[in-house]
Amino acid sequence: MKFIKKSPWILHYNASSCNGCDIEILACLTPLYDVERLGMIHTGNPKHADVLLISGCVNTQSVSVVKQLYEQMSEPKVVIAVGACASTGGISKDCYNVIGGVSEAIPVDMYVPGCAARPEAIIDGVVKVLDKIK
Amino acid sequence: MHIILLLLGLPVLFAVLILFAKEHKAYKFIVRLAVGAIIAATVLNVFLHYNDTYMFSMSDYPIVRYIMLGIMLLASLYIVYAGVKARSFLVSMIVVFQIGLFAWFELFSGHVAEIHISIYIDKLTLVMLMIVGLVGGLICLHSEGYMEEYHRRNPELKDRRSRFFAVLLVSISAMVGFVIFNDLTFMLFFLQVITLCAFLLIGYTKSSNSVKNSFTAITFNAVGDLCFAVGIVMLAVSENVLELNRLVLLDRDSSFTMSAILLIVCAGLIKSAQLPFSKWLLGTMEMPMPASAMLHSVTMVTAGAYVIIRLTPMLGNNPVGIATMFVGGVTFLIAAALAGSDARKMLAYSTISASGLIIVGAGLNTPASLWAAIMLLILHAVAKALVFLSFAEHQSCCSDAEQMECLHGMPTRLKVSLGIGMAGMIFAPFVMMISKWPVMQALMDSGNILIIMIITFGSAVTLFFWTKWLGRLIAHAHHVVEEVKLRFDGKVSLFVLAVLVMIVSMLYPLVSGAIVVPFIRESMMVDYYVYISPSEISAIVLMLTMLLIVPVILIPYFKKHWVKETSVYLSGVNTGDDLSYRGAMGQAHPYELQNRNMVALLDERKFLIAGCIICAVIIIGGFFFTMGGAII
Amino acid sequence: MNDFMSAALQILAVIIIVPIAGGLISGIDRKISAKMQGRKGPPILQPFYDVLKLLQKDSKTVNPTTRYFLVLSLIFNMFNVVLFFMGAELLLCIFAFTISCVFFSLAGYSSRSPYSFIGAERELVQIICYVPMIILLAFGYYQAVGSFSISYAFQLDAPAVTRLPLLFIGLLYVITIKLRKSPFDISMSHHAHQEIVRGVTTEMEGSCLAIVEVSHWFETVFTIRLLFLFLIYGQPLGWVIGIGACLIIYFLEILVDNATARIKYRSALRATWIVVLVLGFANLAFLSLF
Repeated sequence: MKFIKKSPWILHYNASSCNGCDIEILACLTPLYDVERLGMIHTGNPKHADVLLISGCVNTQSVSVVKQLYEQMSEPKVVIAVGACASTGGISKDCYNVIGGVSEAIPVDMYVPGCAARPEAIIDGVVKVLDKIK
Repeated sequence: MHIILLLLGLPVLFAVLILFAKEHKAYKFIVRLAVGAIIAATVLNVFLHYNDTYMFSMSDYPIVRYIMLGIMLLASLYIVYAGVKARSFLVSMIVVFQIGLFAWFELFSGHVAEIHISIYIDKLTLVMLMIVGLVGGLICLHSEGYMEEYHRRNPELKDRRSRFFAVLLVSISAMVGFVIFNDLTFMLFFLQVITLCAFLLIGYTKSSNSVKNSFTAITFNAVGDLCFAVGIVMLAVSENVLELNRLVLLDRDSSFTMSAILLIVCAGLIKSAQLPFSKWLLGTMEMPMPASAMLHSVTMVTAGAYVIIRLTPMLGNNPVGIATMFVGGVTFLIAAALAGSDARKMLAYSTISASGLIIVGAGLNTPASLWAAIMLLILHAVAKALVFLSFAEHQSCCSDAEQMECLHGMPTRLKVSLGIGMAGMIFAPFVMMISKWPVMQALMDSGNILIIMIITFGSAVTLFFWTKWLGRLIAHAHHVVEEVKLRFDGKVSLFVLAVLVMIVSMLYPLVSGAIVVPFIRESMMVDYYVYISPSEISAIVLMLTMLLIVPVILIPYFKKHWVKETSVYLSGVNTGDDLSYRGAMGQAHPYELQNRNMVALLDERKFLIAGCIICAVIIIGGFFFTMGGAII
Repeated sequence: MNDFMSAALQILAVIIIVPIAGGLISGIDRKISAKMQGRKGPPILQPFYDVLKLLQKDSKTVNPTTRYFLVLSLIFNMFNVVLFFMGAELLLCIFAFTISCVFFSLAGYSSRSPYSFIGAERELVQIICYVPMIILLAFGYYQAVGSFSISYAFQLDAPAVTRLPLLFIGLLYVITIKLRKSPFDISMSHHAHQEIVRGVTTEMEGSCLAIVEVSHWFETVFTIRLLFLFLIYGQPLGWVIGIGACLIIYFLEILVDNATARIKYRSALRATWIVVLVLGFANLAFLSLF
């Protein structure tokens, strides 16, 4: 039995988001959505987290941080790209300093679409990605 | 044969020998030989005198007394001369006054008091002999290599090493004399020799700062010696007593006697740098480390605590006892709070604080508290010497050992020995105090709630600053720097001291049963026995399990491939070496960890002054109430 | 031989039951907190899921010594709780308890990470906040009851709290620190965001963090058992009163946790020391006079 499904702890990193997706991620914690009922805890620390939520596209400043946070998380770990920018680079794809979606930096397990991604979609993404863990 | 005189004479003999040694290479040989001889003599003495109390009268040899008085006069005159030369007239005046007092006493009334027992060796003396012989010997052994390195590092200083070693050896001899003699005049003589040795050691570098500090120290200690002298003259004149074993049998209701006792206690308080008098010990921290180690754990501070422990039967529930207890208690609390983030200050204040606790135990005058005081005295001497020597060994590798960050480059072996010393200072007093709850029980029963509060808070603060230092040490344990090859002598002395700390702290019932409990039974004339309570057994089990668990858990430490290592979390901008982070413009910023200390809450100076005023008021109050009885 | 067997069985029972009870208390705590905040909250077994997950995770460490200190801390905590439930002497329990706290703080120091270093310092400040109170409590207990023995409380005519009212209030004040509740959760908190990431535990992952959690369960049970010691007495009614009062007190702690904001470490130190000084001194003075 994999207990990670019962307590996925989340680390959220804003690679270069406009804060739209971030607000929706934080909305998941509110009494309305209450992710803690699913055992999810929002940690501020890669060493404690199982799920890395990244919002926004990866640019030249944030790429090394994304890579280091991913490295510092211990196995098993999964990555979710939240929103259009994180998935593909989105609206700022052709910007001079933007590298692209999160998958350009680290392997991504799940893409949550939307601009901004809806809280239901984010929670759904986390629940679904846990099924991928063997 | 009087084997004890061997221990008294050998160090002096070697001191003379080393003064005449011209070759630097000869120092190592002579010091090793001297230390070997001192330790052998100590062990021999402890072995021979263990079963019976040794007493020796010198009334058949009056010449010895005259020789002693002659040397005392010479030593005093030297101090007067040094004081005048350095324009520090206060010292000279104090010493001149003391010479005058003693001359009057010896010429007119000194012979009245008859000395029956000159040398008296009981179990407490043996404890002290072991501290002096073993710890003092190991410090000497360590100092030889240290001084060589010291002069290599500071070529501008004049190399007067032979004098340094000679003074160290003489101070061992003086301390031996101080603890074995029962004749108070002789005790005063040896106390003065200890003071003089400390003066010479502090002023060793002859820099303006060290000279200034040496005069501060000698001013305070000359006052201490004067207190001692006045006290014994008062006792000899009024009660016709000049012996320690008869002194403690005197009438506790006589206010004149008790004033004299309080004066002698004051001498002890000054020597162990209790609060109003703490200034001199802080100044001594600039001298070579082994000399500091000697002063803190073998000679001066220990001598002060020893005097008060010896006077225990006269203390207790009377103005003198209460004053002693409170000065010790307040010092224990405030000095612990002042042990800040600077290494030298930490070492000095922790010594002051620990002696404060010892003095509380002695002042309380119950078997259990006396037990605790003696055990702490032993532990403090051994553990503090280890801490000092570990620092010293490190300092000979890196020049700046003052800030906490200095622990960073410390070789692993030194970290281990320093860790053992610190852990001994944290955990062992806890175990001992807690399995000795009668101390607290006695305090509760006598209604000394204030002292209980002080000790409770003081223990918490002590725990705080020692753990902080231990944490600091551990924080750097992981980053291995290039190993420095330690000197053979240094390794031996550190290793033996570490083993001694472990024995005293882990197997304390053995030490206590062998020597401390018999002493209390003999001296207090009570059928005191340490009741091995379930709690005590559990405490021992606790510590031994800890010992057993340590190697088991350390296995992954040795098998590095078992452990997957990772880097420190620095918000994702760790540059990879765990010591710096990448800034916004891509450059690396190293970071440094700083400690807070207790006094961050308060102004250190004000805190110290407040403590001094409180203690001074307590001492003056003690005198007032003691002599008040005479007036009423 | 039979005595030995029964003692061994008792110890085993304590070691198994206490963490289960601690975990359940923690789960119920989280549920009640959620309800207070108008949320549904996690399942009651959530703390166990968390710990089991942590054990299944890969654990890397910055410094292998961290694990060593954590294990020592856990062992001393277990030792302490076993002693307490076997009715040993109060002072020894407090000693083992303090040692375990010190080891926990050392574990925080060992990684030389800025966040865990600050956490460890704050943990030490917390230790010196509550240790004086607990030691004074032990002396108060001795003075009121006439023995340091914990099992002696079951033979009293009236609960010890009747003679130690002020010290008991002081205890209520400081257990907030040990339960890691607001406003005194300065070294590490249960909640997600904190200015020092996660304090002492920042660098601990996987099984190391699991040890921390289990240790905390032991501590929780110890704290409640300590409260119970002052409420129990020789009558069956004592059990009812004791258990009822402990439940109410724990509920109040949760309420305080949800109703207050974290304070600065200096204020925490001042706030506790003043309370301990005044209440401790008053109660002890009262006891020694009457």
